[in-house]
Amino acid sequence: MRIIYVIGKYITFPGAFLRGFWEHLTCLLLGLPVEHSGYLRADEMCGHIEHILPKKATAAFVSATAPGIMGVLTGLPTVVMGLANIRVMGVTFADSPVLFVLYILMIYVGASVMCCLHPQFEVAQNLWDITLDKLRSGNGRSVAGGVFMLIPALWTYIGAVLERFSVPVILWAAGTAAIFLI
Amino acid sequence: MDNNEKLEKEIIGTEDVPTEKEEAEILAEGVAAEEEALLEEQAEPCIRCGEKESLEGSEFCEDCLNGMLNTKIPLIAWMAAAASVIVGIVAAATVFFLAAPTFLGMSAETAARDNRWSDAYYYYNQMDTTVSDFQSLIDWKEGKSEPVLRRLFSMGTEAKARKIEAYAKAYNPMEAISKLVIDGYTSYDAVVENEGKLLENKRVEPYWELFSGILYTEELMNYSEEYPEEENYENLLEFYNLIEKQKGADPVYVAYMKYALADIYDRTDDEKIACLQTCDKLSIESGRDYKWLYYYEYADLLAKTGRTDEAIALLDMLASENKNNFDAYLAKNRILLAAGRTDDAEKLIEDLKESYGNYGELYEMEVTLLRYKGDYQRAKELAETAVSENDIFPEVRRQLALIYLAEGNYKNAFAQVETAYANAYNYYAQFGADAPSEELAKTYYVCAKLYESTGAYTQEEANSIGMAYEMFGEDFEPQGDMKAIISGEKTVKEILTEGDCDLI
Repeated sequence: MRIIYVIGKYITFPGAFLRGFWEHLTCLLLGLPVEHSGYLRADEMCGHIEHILPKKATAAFVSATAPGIMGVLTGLPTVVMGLANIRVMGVTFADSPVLFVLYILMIYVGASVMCCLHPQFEVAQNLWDITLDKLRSGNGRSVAGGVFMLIPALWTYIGAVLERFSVPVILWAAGTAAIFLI
Repeated sequence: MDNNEKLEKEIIGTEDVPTEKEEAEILAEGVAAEEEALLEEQAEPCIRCGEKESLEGSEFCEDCLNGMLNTKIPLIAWMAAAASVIVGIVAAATVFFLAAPTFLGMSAETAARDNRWSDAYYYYNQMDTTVSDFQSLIDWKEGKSEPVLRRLFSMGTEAKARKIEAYAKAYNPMEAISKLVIDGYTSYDAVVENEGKLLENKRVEPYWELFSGILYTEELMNYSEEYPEEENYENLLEFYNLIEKQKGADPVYVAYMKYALADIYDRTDDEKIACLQTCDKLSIESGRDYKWLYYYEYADLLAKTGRTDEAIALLDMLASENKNNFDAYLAKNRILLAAGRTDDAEKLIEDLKESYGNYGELYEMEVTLLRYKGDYQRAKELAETAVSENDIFPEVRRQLALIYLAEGNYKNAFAQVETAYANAYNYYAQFGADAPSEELAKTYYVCAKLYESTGAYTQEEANSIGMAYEMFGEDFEPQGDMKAIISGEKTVKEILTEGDCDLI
């Protein structure tokens, strides 16, 4: 599975690199020690940085979700703009080679970013465990916090599992192909 | 030791039970051992460097921990992230402005996939208008290089090609090219030079070839030295046979022109049908779609000669290729009613209502059906509802005029048909639809004649009546049903309740 993961990350290297950056920046802002900060590695840490797992709920939540949110905010408009211009507005290479290439790049980079939205599995697992602990705590405020964190934690957990098998890369490639073929 | 203590010793089998002091000593020893174990643990080396002792409560030494808390983000990562944020912001703003045309384009594609080509063209046209409106806000003088912002919000060749394709499939390929590509150009060469990219597009190319072929054929017909000196059916037919053999002539178009010739010279219906059958055969052989050219006339001729089912099959084929082809539905409705198949017409209208609700042309069909069935009251009410909702469909008013004619109310009939005629011209100007139909013109003439015969008109109305005659010219001689009504051979009611039940 590791080889599939690494291939997926290398195919989407712009997204993996940016994901590494956002994770790194989040850790620095949260004061989480970073053990290894290489963004593109040929192992299961590719597209992530190695950091100490936070024990506090807020830090765990932010470190698991903030890089993904930044990915959505920057990647989604980029890929949508590229797709809208080429697929719907019908811009062709003959119209403007520069714009056409730019839009193709936007689709690729945007989709790459969207393929790398989720944290590494251990980080997602940590957030999930903390969320469950909060829900089981019996303390009103903790339970409320757990409820708030439940959906993002579940989404992050599922996404992290899927990313281990490069499923988002396959889905985005298939989706983009379908958009152009239909 | 009393008896109880003896018994306890026998049952438990223990030696002396420790005193409270002894218990406290044991506890203190335990705590000390735990503290010692903890100290031993804390003293473990840092798991990162493996040299220095790790800090209390941590697996890392102080140096490693400081290093991990202050790792440097590479400059290239900062630059990449800054670029991604800037691109993201620009893209978000662009997507915001592109949202409307994009949704229109998507709606157009959905309609096109569903073979609703008229809808597809409508959406593409709206998309084009939205983009043009936005572009008009950005200053640009032709001849200078186009600002980037204008280029970011423009319809590309592929979208323009799809719009042309939608128009060609919804209405007419010749008009698609003339209206959407060459309109505004003064020469053929200028079109090729400026619209080359569009004309080479795989969606537009077949229509451009068709257009060029027909245009060339027309040129051959108009400027040939072989054109007969005496214009009669035989000479012209021979001339068309010559044109057909010329290189580059469109054989389907020539076959259609032979049909037109037969129609002008009042040849038999069988001869005309034979011409259109040749059209059909050649069209299939060419692999191009010429249905737009002759199918309606073919269907009318077949219906006229009693081959209603074949006529309906042709119109059904047109409707299957463009599901909102209301011209085909209207023709089908008219043919069904003329054949007395009111139940089929009713079913057609109900089916269409399910898909489109109460729509302009559907009102037209239903009013016609009710009038055919003799239910003038309901027909009139429905027509008035349709007119009050949307008064752009001249045919509804013409139907209303026919109802008034049948009722003998010539004043109202003339007023309705007059408005219908004016609306037809407005409709033509606004939507590029056909100019007033032949049946509208005939109805106008008959209404004017009958109203004039009453003598109860104002001076203003007299002028309008005069204008109606002017449109037909001084030499106009009414024929068929028009003549029968005007000369008094038949009553209006007879004409409107027999056969076609209309002034067709």
